[in-house]
Amino acid sequence: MFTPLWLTLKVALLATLFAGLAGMALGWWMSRRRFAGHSVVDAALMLPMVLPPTVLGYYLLVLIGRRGLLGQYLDAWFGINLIFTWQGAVIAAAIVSLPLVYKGARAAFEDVDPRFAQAARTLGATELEVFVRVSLPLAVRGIASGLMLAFARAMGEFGATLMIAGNLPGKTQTLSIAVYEAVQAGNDAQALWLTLVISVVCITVLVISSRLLQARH
Amino acid sequence: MVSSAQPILDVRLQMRLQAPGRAFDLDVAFSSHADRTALLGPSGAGKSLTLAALAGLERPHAGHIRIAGRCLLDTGAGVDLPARDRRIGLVFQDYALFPHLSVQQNIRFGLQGLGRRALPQELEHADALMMQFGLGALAASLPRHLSGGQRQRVALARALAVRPTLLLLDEPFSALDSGLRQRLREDMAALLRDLPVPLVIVSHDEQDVAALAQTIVRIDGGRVI
Repeated sequence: MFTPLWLTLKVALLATLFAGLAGMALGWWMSRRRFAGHSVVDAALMLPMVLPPTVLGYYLLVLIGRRGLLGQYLDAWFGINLIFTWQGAVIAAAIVSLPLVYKGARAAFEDVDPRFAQAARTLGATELEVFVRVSLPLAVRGIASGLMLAFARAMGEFGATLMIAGNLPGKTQTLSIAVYEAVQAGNDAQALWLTLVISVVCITVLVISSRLLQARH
Repeated sequence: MVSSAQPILDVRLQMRLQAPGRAFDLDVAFSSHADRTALLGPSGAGKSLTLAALAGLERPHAGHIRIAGRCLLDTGAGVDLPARDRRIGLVFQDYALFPHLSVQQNIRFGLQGLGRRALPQELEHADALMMQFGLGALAASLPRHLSGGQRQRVALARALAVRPTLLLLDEPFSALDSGLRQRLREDMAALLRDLPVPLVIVSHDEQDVAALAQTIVRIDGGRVI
């Protein structure tokens, strides 16, 4: 009962961490730069949100599978195999939730009046100081809201996770996969209980997220 | 301030701004020996762009900027100091106070950075400016709770706290209503009169300029006229 919950929280937290760092950096970069192919990069970053999770999982297998484009080198050089591991589940969940952080962060950074950064520069601030002392604090609500949604999405991740990490009880079986298995096995009480846990966590996350957005000045 | 024949301001800027369907060419040259110089002209004339280029926020493709003999930009010699190294204070048209910082934090902003703590005497200077501008009671207030006149004084104190070598004021009264304008212009003129910093003020209003500046540079259509 509790093993899938802890595993889900561990996977979702780590996935949110990685998606958060990458999403923030990409959101900031895409909000500041305009270059040829800008909209193509933007579309590519949003792709995990619209692609069927199984298709995403298939792409990931092609990439990090044991004979995958990257996976064969990970295996040969470092002896690392990500398939059927909880670390693989983290990668799948991080990719699936990346667009939510990226979109939130980019919108939040674009909302920050560029004159605040200019004012900071005339006061002697370096570009790093502009980011840390001005852009980030002014965008923090939008980013936090994106992080909450990413966390909720990572918790509920099913398709890509199943393709990459499989369904190994106690090892890679997350809550949403445990629900599926419980239903398949006719274990209704177990399914109901797991479903309630997921629902409560996701509703909490959504309420906090919308509060964060409302309080925006 | 500078008694020699060296001008306080010696500026030549050439730049082109391009947007879809239109382009704006700026080509201005002026010098001034006065402590108070005004750039006067209608809106869209290129005044604010000139100011942004002086502050280092816009990059001209050719020209030079010398402030009391100190070279900030000389495209011929490959000199182009970034905004953070120019020590030019800029008071934005709508002040651009950091909305997440208090009055005191705004004024102290330029004194500290990552791995750079403000010296006690710098903080004293910043706090003295805050008091001098009548902002002491508002030290902990956020900008959104201030009146227009108070915001303007915070912006001025923030720019002066880092001891700039030149102060730029962009349309200092445009964000204020006209009844207040007259009184604020007098207050501001009194404040600025005592400042030990040369300044350049941008305005479309002859009266603002007359109250504040000794030398007037008229700009229209991207040219000095």
